[in-house]
Amino acid sequence: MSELRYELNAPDVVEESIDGEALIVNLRTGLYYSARGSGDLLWQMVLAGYTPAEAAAAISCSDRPADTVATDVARFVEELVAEELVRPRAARAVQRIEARPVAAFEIPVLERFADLQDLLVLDPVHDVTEEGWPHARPDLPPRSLP
Amino acid sequence: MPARAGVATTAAGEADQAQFEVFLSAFHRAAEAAGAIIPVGLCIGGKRVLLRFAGPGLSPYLVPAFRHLRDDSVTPETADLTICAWDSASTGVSLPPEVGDLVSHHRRGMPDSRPLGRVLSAYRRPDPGFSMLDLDSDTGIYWIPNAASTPYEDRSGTFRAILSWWMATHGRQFVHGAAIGDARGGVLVVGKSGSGKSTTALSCLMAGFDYVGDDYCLLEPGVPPCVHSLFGSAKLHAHNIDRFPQLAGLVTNPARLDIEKGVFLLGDHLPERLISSLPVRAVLVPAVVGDGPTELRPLSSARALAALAPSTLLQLSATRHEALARMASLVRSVPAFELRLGENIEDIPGAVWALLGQPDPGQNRD
Repeated sequence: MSELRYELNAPDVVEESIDGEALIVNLRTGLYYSARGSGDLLWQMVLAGYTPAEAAAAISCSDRPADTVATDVARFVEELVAEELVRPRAARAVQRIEARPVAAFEIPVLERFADLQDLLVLDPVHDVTEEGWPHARPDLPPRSLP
Repeated sequence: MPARAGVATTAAGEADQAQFEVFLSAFHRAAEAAGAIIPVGLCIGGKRVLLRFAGPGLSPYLVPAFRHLRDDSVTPETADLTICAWDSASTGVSLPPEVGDLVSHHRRGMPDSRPLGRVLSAYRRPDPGFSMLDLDSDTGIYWIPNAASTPYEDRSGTFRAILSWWMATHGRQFVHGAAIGDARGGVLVVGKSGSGKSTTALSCLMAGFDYVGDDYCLLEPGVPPCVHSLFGSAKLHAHNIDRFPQLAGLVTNPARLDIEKGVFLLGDHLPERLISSLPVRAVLVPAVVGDGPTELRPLSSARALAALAPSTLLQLSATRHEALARMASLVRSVPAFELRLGENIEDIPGAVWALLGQPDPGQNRD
């Protein structure tokens, strides 16, 4: 995995980085994610075509052994793949990211939010009343109104 | 209907177009059966929109939420967008099966960021009925089975699929949020359902603010960014209605509050407070704290975008890929704050007016 390159899993996934934080929305699953600090930088590197190994090497870090950083980066990218936010691509890096030197490397964290998934789960034929979406049938478990 | 010059046609595109033509023909049959087409002109976000109803059955349920945006100068010749609407029960015309399988239309209407085709469709999402839009002719069609049982979501503001698709191609983005202020500027209040958007918007309305909307607004990026009004309505969960005694007698669906949010058609009661557009000066993300003072705390742009974008994108149908970028543009251009809602709802308007640096208009109004 450390030598693979990835790209955004569009059009199911949309993303925007702002103020050092990436917001990633999976429109198919209804899950959304946040990655801050080192996670935001790595997210941008992955989208730019860096392999996990290249990304780890590009992050200069004064207080953490290189192999530990590589392990953290690989795990983070594995999580991106498992959540289907990125997919493999064949092309080489298309863009170089300014490798912001990280004085104190933070273990990259992908925060995952599932609180809006209810907006996607109703089945229009079987789970709703004659009034239509989003009126859940009364015999189904309660869901919050959108 | 000929394809626009320069736009490639595909077999799928031709099938979509054929379904649209069948749907449009059914509308015309419904109008003929009902004896008339009822036109209603609107100005939404500076765009001229003409609603055309097949007979008088459906318009009483759908038009009131748009009353504040009426523009009787709009004609078929001057309309930027035309929306044809009909129901089967009042016209006696069924939805023809040639429009295609409604479950597949539902799937097509799920959130998506694929490039928009020329013909778009959605069933029971985000509106309760069936929607189609032909971008080449700037014509949308909306159908529900029975006007008399129009769902409360439609009565508080409908045509969300058609309007969001069409407006997106004209630089305007549907956003899930409330907006209040006055013509000099105001705030966009964002967050998922239950976060306090409606409570904030209605408490400000009652204190003398002008009101753009409490659930959906139309964002036009720019300097300054603006929000435009879509629906002159408000919705409150039943347990929150008692917090607004001035509104309690105005709820339009009092017998159904066990299964529906209470709907208020503000254009009928407070037309002078409904405003069509507002420059955005800040984004507020309410959080129900429950005790202590109501106060504002600075919030990062990223947190504001997280409160705004996912709930917008996941409630709508297919969106253009730039939808998220438009919302990001907004939070980059104006400051964001967390609005911590304390124990007194009356404190909310003062906190917002202090942010805007303007005197509380409630002191000068009845």
